[in-house]
Amino acid sequence: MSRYLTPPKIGLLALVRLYCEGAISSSGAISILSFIVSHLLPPLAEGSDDEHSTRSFTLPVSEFDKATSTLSSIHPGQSVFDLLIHRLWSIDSFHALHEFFSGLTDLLNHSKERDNESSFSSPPSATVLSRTSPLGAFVRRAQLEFTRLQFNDAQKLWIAFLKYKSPTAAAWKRRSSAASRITFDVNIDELGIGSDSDLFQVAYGTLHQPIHSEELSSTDDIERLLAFQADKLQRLGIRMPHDMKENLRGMVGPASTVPSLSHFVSFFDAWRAGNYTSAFDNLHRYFDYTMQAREKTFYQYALLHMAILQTDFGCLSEAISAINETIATARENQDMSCLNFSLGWLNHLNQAFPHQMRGIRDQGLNGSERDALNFLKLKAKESKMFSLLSSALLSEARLDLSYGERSITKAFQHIYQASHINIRENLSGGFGSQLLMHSAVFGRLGVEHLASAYCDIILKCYRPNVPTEEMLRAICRMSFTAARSGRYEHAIQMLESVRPGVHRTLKFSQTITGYLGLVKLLQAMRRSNRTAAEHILQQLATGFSFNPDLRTLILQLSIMFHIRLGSLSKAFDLIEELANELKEETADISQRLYLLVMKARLYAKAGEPQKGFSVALRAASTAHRFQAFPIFWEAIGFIANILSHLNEFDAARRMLDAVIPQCLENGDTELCALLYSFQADAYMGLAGRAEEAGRRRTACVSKAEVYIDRARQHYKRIEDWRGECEMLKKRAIIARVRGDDNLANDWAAQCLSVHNAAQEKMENIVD
Amino acid sequence: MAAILSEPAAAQLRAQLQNAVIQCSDRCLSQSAKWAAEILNSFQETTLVDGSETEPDSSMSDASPSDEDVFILHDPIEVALEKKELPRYLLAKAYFDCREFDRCAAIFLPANVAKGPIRTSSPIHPQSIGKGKRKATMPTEKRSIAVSLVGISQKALFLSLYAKYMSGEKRKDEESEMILGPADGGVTVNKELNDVSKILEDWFSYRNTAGGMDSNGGGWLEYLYGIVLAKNKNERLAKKWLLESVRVYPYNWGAWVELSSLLATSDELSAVIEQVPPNIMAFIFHIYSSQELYQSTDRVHANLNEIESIFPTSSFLKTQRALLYYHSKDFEEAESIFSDLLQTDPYRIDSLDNYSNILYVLDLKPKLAFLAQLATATDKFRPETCCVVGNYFSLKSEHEKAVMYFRRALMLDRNFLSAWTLMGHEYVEMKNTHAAIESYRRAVDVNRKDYRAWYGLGQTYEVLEMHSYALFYYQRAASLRPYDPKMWMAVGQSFGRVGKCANGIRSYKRALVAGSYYDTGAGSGFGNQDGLGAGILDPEVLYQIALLYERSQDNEECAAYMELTLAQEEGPEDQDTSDTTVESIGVGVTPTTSKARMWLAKWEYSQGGFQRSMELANELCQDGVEVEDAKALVRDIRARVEKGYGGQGMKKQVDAVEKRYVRST
Repeated sequence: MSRYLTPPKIGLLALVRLYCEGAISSSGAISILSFIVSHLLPPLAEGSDDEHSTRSFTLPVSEFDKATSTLSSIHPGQSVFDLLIHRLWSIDSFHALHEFFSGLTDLLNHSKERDNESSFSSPPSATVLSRTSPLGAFVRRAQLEFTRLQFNDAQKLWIAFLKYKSPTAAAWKRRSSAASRITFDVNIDELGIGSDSDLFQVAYGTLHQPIHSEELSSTDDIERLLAFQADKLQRLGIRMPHDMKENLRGMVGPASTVPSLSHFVSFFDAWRAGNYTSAFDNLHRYFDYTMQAREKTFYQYALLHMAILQTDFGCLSEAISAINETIATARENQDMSCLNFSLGWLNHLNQAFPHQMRGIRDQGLNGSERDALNFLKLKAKESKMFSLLSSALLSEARLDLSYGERSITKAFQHIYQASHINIRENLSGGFGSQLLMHSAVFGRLGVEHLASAYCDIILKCYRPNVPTEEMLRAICRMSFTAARSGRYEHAIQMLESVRPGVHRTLKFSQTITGYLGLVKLLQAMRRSNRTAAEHILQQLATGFSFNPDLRTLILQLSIMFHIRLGSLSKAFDLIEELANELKEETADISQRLYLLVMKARLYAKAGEPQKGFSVALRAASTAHRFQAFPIFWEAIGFIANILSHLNEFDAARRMLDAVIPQCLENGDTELCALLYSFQADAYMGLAGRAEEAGRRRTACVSKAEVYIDRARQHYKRIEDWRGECEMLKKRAIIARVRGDDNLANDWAAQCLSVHNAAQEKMENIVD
Repeated sequence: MAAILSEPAAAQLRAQLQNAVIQCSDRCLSQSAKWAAEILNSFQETTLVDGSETEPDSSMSDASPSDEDVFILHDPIEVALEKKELPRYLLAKAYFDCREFDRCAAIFLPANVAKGPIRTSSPIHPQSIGKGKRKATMPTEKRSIAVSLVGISQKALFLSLYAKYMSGEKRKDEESEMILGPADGGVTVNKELNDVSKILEDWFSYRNTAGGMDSNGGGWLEYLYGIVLAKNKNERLAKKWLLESVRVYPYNWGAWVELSSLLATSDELSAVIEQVPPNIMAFIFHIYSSQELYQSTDRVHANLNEIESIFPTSSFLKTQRALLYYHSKDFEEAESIFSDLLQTDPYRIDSLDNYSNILYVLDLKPKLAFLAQLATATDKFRPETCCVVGNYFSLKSEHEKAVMYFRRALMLDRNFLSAWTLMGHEYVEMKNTHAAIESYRRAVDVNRKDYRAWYGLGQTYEVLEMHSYALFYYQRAASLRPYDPKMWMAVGQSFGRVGKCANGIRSYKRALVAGSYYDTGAGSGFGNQDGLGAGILDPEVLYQIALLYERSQDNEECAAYMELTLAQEEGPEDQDTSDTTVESIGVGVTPTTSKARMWLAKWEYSQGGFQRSMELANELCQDGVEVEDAKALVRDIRARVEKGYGGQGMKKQVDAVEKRYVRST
């Protein structure tokens, strides 16, 4: 494999030459130039994926045809492609190839002293290329590389070139008037030998073999390709498609020297595939090869990668020791960027795995998290590492949300700072995490539509730039929200529509599966499909520990499941267990609050809501303080319920009145249903209080009926037929209380039919 | 020698050659074996077919050598010995083929011989030959070595000693390190040479004194002894032993080649030819040596024709013919022969470097590129291939790359003559005179008959303005190529530079003679002065002669030669036009003739021949050469004439001349 020159490059050079000689009409010049340049300059990092996938990397000769045959040249009746073919076929011997390359000098703007020498020797072409222009640089590079070629390498290039242009032989014969000269080498013509002679076999024996992609690609191309792959892998975390892998293997070839970057690519690939051992193998191989080529500064990067790799496979203690080593080495080598990055990463590790990190951190060298963050911010600002600064700000925002009281404003401040930096420095990769953070804050504030909108922005606007992991998180989040409000089909469809390429990475695939399971579990639970829910829960319980979010959600849902099932003691045990765990690791406040609310719900379910009073009150006050509104509403709902039980119906009603509108706005359908049913209960209580058959009682009863209907609608929306039945029963009871037995019967019959329909549906599903 | 061999003679020759192939490969002389096998396969096709068809028992070609084979050794003792030691011999040969020379040598040679050389006369320091400890050997051991060698056959002895020699060569190459590096050149020597020659000397003297036995070594040991002696620069003895070798066994081509390389002149060649038995090998040797000595005479061509009738398809002979044409500057003919050769045997790389030289001279760049491509496709690590590629780059004026390839060729074979010479040329182009001189010197050391290297040395010294040195080397070149005007011109120039005008003039005149010799010959003109028609003398030479005469104050002669120079513009007078047609047109106006014209104009002016001077000066103006000087001269003449020098008649004549020119321009 040659270092740089390939047959397609010769084609491009010929095109450049045509352009410089003014053979291309001015209307076609722009498209020719853009064609040339698009194959010379490295692919833009910001370019969209589709463009790359459609373009063949090796640029077959048919591409030239496509690009140039429609453009007319200055010669009437001849397209640029005709001229190009003529140019290519006029290179009719190995010597002519040499001449072609040495003739390229004419295209360049000579430097002054050389100008004096050769001013009269060669007439300058119509357009003279500046030595530093893209085309000039290309021509110069090509010339230099050709000079550097060993003779036999040049010969290989020549043979490859012959093979490359052979598809145009028919076109050349058709178009050229001098049809007598049809062979590719004048010497063959002169000697008058056919393709069956021995001499021909010696010189061009390999010509009939099909062209390998190895011959068409140079080390330079491969390196560019690999750099693109590595970038994709590293930035977006997607694995290489299979056909690309095949292609690459064909290009790299069996015998030629393999660029060390390819080990890096295969390392990433193996990593994403979840292949621990070969990932390590390839990483070490890569660094073994690069170490010899460059200085030892790569050592800390090797360690850094190792640490990330170790974490990814769950070996935290090894990861920590590796990252500590990285930090030490980076300090020693004064590599600020590496140092900052590893500190940032360590910080991230602390937040992501607080439980596992606790034991390790004690012996660690970093103080409190906030100190570390401040240090990081300072350093990042000093060394102008803006992406690090942005991510440090986001980390701080996250910290605010977890621990700080009334800290939403502070969190917003940090987020907006990060956003500012992202925009100012055009850190397209940083938008994802920032928007996600934004969305999380709004989620916590209970403004679900805004939260969703931010996720939508990620998906709609930043898809090509945002790491796949963040994109996935946005999708999962949106999907789960959809599931919660009863749009199960939509949620599932959203998860399933994720590009198949993402599934090639093991972790992503697992995350998607996990969320799919969650959505289905939620649906099964609400439909009271016990077998299905148990089954899914069992599947989910095994191994999703790598993703803390997912794990928490699964635990919450399993508690919920037990509550619904009625196995309250089991649920209580689970809550206690989780609460202890969270207390130890000083986890995110919202999780702990959720547990408190859960407990209140448990007591309510157990029929002793009063016992949950203190719990609910605490949850409510804390949630209010931390502005975790969805939890706050739920807690208020339970308090109201308790108040109803304590016959404080009016207080309960008023509380619920205050909360319900906000909750409706948030769109958590289940909570709304719950709150409405509580409200109905409160009104029924008020009705009980009022004098018999008075106007007030009737009003209260009818209000209660309205609320029951609303709750029923909400339950229906989330397919919770049990809730629906309960509401129908309540209607029936109310009807009986009113003395309207027919109506009561109707409600009862309706309840029965709903029950039966649900049962039938379930059986259908089972079938 | 008969042009067509009789049937039995041909069969015998075939058998001999076949036997030679086997014998040579038994002794690991692969190049000689290759040569013999090639010749064996280049017999006329018909005789082969006829022979096997007509005579059922004439399967001589693959039968074992018959009793008439005078040259093949049938010493019963030798046969018995060979039979006895066959396993050991096979082992030794296997080692040799694996290039484990020391191990091979140690099989047959007694330990003290194989390990430690006998240090009787050799002055080498004990640090040589890294073969462990070496005990000081007793002089009394000397006799016993030869005795101890009696027990082994000559074949085994040859193989062992040859291995020893090869091991020394290998080590020498290894120690030489970089091409043109400090250790390259005369510093390193083959340290085994003395041992081998000592052993052989002992062996031969023992054989002679022991008597009774046939005292020769089957031709092979003589051959080895000859090589070793030649390497030790003992050329007289070497020649003697090589002659002995070819006398005993003439089918070893290597011996002939070695012998040829020891011949410096054609006189020596004819002396040698008389000493060897007149067989077909001697005949081929004669042709080969003549070619090596640049004797491109009709007789050699006739001989070549004769031998080609026996071996019509031999590429070796065709190459010899092409080289002969090359030496006589008939490049087209040589090119076409090589081109045919290329087609019949495209995998053959031998002497492609010569072909590339021819293409270089003919300036056939595409073809040279094609040849380079072809050679590279076959084997890119052959010195010939590297030379072809180097020549190609040289033709493209990429001298650095050319040098790289020549160096590579030398890495592959340090004795590869043409690479040394060509590298010298490249270094001259790169203005690296020091390296150029060294390269040429090495080339000359390898082969003293390489006139191009001698000439190159002269050129390099000329660049360094060391003219007496240059003269010396030019003289060497001229003595090798007495009929090459370029050599004589160079000699003449150098003589001029060192101030020996008379000698210079003689040399130039010699060049004129040589030039006319070639011009009337079959070939076209030579080198850069192609297209000189027959009967035209080189104006440059004439002008130089004139200048030398001027320096020796002989203005009359000088003017005569200047006139002669001018005359070459028109070509020879009409007496020649009858037999030569288009070619007889002269060289036309060249810078040289213009200079001559200028000189003449000034000369006439000083002599008072204003009319002629005016005419010449106006001609100069017309040709557009040195117009300023010519115009100044015209003005001077006018002034003189106005003043009345030369009388009124002169004035009129001058006016007439001037008018004529003014009107025509």
